[in-house]
Amino acid sequence: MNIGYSDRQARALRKYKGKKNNAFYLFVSPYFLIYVSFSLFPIIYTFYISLTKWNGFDAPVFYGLKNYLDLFKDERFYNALGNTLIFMLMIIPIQIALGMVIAFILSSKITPAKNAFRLFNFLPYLTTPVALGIIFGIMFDYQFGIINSIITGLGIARENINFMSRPWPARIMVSFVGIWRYYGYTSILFLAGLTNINPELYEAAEIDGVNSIQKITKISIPLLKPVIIFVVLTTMIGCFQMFEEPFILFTVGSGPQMVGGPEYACLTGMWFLYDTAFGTMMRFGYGSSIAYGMFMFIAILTLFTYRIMKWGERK
Amino acid sequence: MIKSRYLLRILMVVALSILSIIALYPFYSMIMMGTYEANDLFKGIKLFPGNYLKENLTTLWSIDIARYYLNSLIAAFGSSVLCVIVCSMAGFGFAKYKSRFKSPLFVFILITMMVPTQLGLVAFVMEMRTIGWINSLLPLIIPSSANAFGVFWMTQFVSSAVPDEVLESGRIDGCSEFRIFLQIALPFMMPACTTLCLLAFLWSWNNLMVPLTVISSDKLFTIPLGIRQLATSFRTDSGAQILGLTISTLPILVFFGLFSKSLISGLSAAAVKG
Repeated sequence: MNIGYSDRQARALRKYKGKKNNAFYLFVSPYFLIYVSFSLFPIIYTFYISLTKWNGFDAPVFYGLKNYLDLFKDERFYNALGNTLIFMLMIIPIQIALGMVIAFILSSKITPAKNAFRLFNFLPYLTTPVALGIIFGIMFDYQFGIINSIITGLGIARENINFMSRPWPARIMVSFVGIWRYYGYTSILFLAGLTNINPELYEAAEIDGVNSIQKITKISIPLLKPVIIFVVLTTMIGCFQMFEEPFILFTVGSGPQMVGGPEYACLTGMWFLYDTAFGTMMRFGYGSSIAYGMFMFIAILTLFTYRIMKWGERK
Repeated sequence: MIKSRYLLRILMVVALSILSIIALYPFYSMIMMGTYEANDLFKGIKLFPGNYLKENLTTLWSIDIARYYLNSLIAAFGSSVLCVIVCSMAGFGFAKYKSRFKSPLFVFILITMMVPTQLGLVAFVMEMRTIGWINSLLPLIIPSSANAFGVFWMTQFVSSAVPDEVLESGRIDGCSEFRIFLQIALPFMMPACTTLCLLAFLWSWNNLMVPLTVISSDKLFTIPLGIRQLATSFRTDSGAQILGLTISTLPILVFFGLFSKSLISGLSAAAVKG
């Protein structure tokens, strides 16, 4: 490697050794400058606002923990928290099951037209969620929607279901839209995980006379565990952030206009926050305490889930 | 054995087809419903095109969809280009230089990936008010360019795709560190830059929360805000409303569809490496 540098080259290298440290800061500083000013600072400052009473125009009044005490007495806070948990429980298992099944089918050698199928199922992820809210609002319509035609046609329900005005049907509708939007995306993550598995493992198993179902349950699924953990955690955070789907379904569509859906059954944390600070009220202090109150619960829950999923690994 | 394999294949295709129909039907029905008169729309399910397309188009003429497109394009293009610049520089810095604070800063980025930026929404909006960025496209462009996932991914990519030897050869020739990045490293990083650019474009295009809270003037409405406006002003004329929806979503969907391979590779990298 060392082939004798010319004087000029040696000088250039010496100069470089001196500048090496500065170069790191030169390259990373734009990122940190923007991140700190527009993400980290607001996150920290929101915590300060949560300790005040503030309408955004007058000077904020220091309030201590009063917003949080109010929050823990607010029925809507428990609605939002409960709904987030319900959405997690309805969405995550179906999302993972569907995503995995599609990934297994698409990874099989004998499946035709793989690229087309992959693209079809990926389109929902690419679509503007606001548009989805409106289209699904029509599809779930009480009298004329195709979903009700299918449900009564197949005999699942005897009469049309009013998804817009009853709590549980409303939650099912919102979960359906959430699953529909993300299952193709999830299948892509699983597909990437599957292609990462060393094919020699399957070959070795074949020599030992292992059948196809065992190959999936004993090799693929255990090796997909990192992807499963990733999907579970990101979906949990996604449920905390869920906003567009219920917001558009219940405030723009043809149905009745209401914050949080029927009996607050579809009120999510972000919607509660948006409505308190920017929607019908201008309570910035209380809105900020909602952000932190919700986030703390979700963060603890996510961490707890992560620990449980990792715990099984160390056996 | 051969027979069961054949059966399995049919079963798999049937399952995939059903799922694909579920995935595609909403788009199909959106396109079809835009061609009907509002009163006809709610008489049964529309599987074939109607004959009211021209009239619905005339109704929509009053709405400035072109302006929504332009605003969305400016915001999405600006934020994705800036995101690529900021994240590729940071990724290069993390992958190729040594510093005392390098690993704590990288851990910091990994932690922030799990913290949703919406947590700071209230203060963010107040910050935008204070610096006078309300009713401008800047809040949609600059803040989102510092993308933690982008840096993480670029760092991974640079470590594996940019050889140290070529950087060293640039140094021997006396290039400045920035020129080494720009002229030597960047060509190696192009595939990752393209994918990150597309992803940032997609996320910016579909974003609702930020424009909803910082933009109130309809001259600056992006597509998601425009659709919402459209749905409200044509509440009774559902045919025109849905046609507007088609016009404002379909072209960009085709664009994303064309680049789906690149998008998919970026998204799957997150799960496998993360």
